[in-house]
Amino acid sequence: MNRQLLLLKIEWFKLNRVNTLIWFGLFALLVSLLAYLTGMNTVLITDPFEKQKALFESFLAVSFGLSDLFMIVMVIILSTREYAHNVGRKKLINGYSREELFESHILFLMLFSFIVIALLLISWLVFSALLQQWPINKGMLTLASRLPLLWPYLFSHGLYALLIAVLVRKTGIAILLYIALRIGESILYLANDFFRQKYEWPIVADDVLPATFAKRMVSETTLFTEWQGLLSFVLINLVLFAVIYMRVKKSDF
Amino acid sequence: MNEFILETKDLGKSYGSQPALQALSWKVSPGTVWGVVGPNGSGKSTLFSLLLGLKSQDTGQAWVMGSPAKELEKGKVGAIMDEGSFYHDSSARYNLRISALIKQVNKERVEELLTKLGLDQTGEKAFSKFSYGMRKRLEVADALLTDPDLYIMDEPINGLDPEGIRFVRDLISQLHARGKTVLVSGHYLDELEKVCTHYLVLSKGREVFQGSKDEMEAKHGKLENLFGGGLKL
Repeated sequence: MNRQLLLLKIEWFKLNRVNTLIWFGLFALLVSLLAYLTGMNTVLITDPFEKQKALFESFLAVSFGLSDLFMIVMVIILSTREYAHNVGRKKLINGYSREELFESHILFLMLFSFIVIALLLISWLVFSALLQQWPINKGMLTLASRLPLLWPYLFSHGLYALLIAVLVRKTGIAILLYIALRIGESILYLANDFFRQKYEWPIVADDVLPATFAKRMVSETTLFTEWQGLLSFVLINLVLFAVIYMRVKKSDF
Repeated sequence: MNEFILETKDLGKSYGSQPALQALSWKVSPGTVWGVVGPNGSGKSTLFSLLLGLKSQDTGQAWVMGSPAKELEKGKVGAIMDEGSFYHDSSARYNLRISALIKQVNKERVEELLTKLGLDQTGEKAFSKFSYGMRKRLEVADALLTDPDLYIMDEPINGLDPEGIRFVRDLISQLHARGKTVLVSGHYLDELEKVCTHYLVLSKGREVFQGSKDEMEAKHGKLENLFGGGLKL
């Protein structure tokens, strides 16, 4: 069997457990429910297209926060679990190379973020069908096609979480550090706004700060305003990849 | 086939300024059972970690079955380590299935070993709820999955009751009878004397003795004579 396929199969086997499936289900249910509650206030909008747009925005507002939080907590718990129980060590004994250990971390993150996007798509379809008429119409599907644009955002944030998880290897400390990182990011976000207004700070900064481009995602279909933004985003993620790789490659188990 | 199943040359490892293993040159022939003996901190676990590719050596080389230790093929070595390296919240079957996927072993082998080692009735019971003896049995099942030619056992009888100790002793004897090579460390010298054909004795990371059981007896008498610290009241 192809090496990556085997790694993916192992990661899927790890996720495909009753407990994890329950968490996935609860997540989708929570997103649908909260989105339904926040979408109730759009009942007065009579124009069908405007109503759909308003519903989508309220859905995204809920799903952004939840999917991010859900992703991060699960990535940290499931990644640090590998170290807390010495399972990474067992995998090396069983013949994993350190490269495969790194690849399995990345494949797990990709798999997890794809599942979250799939759950959001399902939640959106269920939620909008509940608030509008059945069957699913073209407008709902068109709006749903924008949801996969969330993936780079989720994956990038997942990389931050994975980096912290492989660095500290302790669940509680990793979650606390991640919270500290998000607070730092919010401060940067505010500073970015301040400096842009005062000193005409370039708009590229919006593409680098996940919080900013996430916000823009709600109202726009494109993620990056300038090519420099895309380049910065790619470079930051490459650095994250490299640091995670070096940590796994150089570690003693 | 190589003459030696395992070989080290000037193998060394330090933790900071503290040497854990110093310039060990060692050759292990197939079908032998080596007792790796020494006081706490003598370098036994460090040696096993280096042979399993878990740590990087500072000096020298280690080859296992002709490959550098860090490039071992999947399932070539069966290891029983002191701490249970399994998902603590998951069952024996689930944990063994993960190992079987990595080693590319079929489900039937997993079920066969669970039955043979008396773990088939544990159902969904989590590893963290297992007794020490059951944990060790799961480690053994994991090591046996691919029926490898080399086994590394780090203090396998620590904490076991008499039944568990006998289980491990029988396991080593049966593996030896089948021509497998076993490296086993421990502090229970009389137990090691029952199963080992060769000894490697370490102290403060240095080799004190290596050779066959006959050579040991000719030179030092009993294994315990190599260790001081007799008590006088």
